[in-house]
Amino acid sequence: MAGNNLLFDFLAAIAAASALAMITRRNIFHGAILLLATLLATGGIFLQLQAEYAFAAQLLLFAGGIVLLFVLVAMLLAPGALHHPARFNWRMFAASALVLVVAIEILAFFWARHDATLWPSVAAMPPNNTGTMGDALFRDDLPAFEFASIPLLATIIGVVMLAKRRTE
Amino acid sequence: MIPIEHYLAFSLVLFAIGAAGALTRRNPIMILMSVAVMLTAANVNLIAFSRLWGTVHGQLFSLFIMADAAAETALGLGILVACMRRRDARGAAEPELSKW
Repeated sequence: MAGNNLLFDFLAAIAAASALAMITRRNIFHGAILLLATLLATGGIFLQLQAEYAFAAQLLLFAGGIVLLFVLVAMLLAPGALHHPARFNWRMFAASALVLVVAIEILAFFWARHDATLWPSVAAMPPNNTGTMGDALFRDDLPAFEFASIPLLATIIGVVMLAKRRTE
Repeated sequence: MIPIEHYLAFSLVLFAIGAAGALTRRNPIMILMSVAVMLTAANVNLIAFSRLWGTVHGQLFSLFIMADAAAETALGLGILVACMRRRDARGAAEPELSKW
């Protein structure tokens, strides 16, 4: 149990530190690599929570697909196109300070009520985790699965329309 | 299982970092990356509660979030490329778009 705890702390620290480094980096490619580290560490946490399928999806879809997309677009655009001189923006600084304060407030609330909250006792996962998930996805919750394809289809059509070169 | 509060605290920290990034960065690619971090933080919550209750429905929901995150990223980057192309065609020097 102690090892489990240590592993979680390790992965959480990597994820949070990479995310923090990511939002402060000026170079998009460094940001993409740090985003990858965040997503992989979070994937490790998914694996620790016995969510093997979500781990695989995180690796293939997020770490594989989305990060690749970011890097590809950053390379596609002219290297200097997105560069602009650093200007300190007080409004933005205030906004992120507000986010930080609210986050700390929620965290403090959490820890103050740490023992008062009645969480249910931890239930055992089904033994064949991914199989159960397949049953749920393709039998019990099939409408949800089918409806998930509608935004994807809309996105495909939308991106093709956006990327189409004007011929007039 | 580690107490759920640890997962909630981690998810909150990750979400706050993502939100701060999305609010402060002006580079559109960086904003989309920060949004991806925020969505991952939401997924951590869903999967932790899924483990707590011993069902797979939280994991199921996290898959839908991942699919929508992919769609959102593709669309955002598509809009960005289209805007950049139009700006190049017009020959404008000042990148107004990259403010946001």
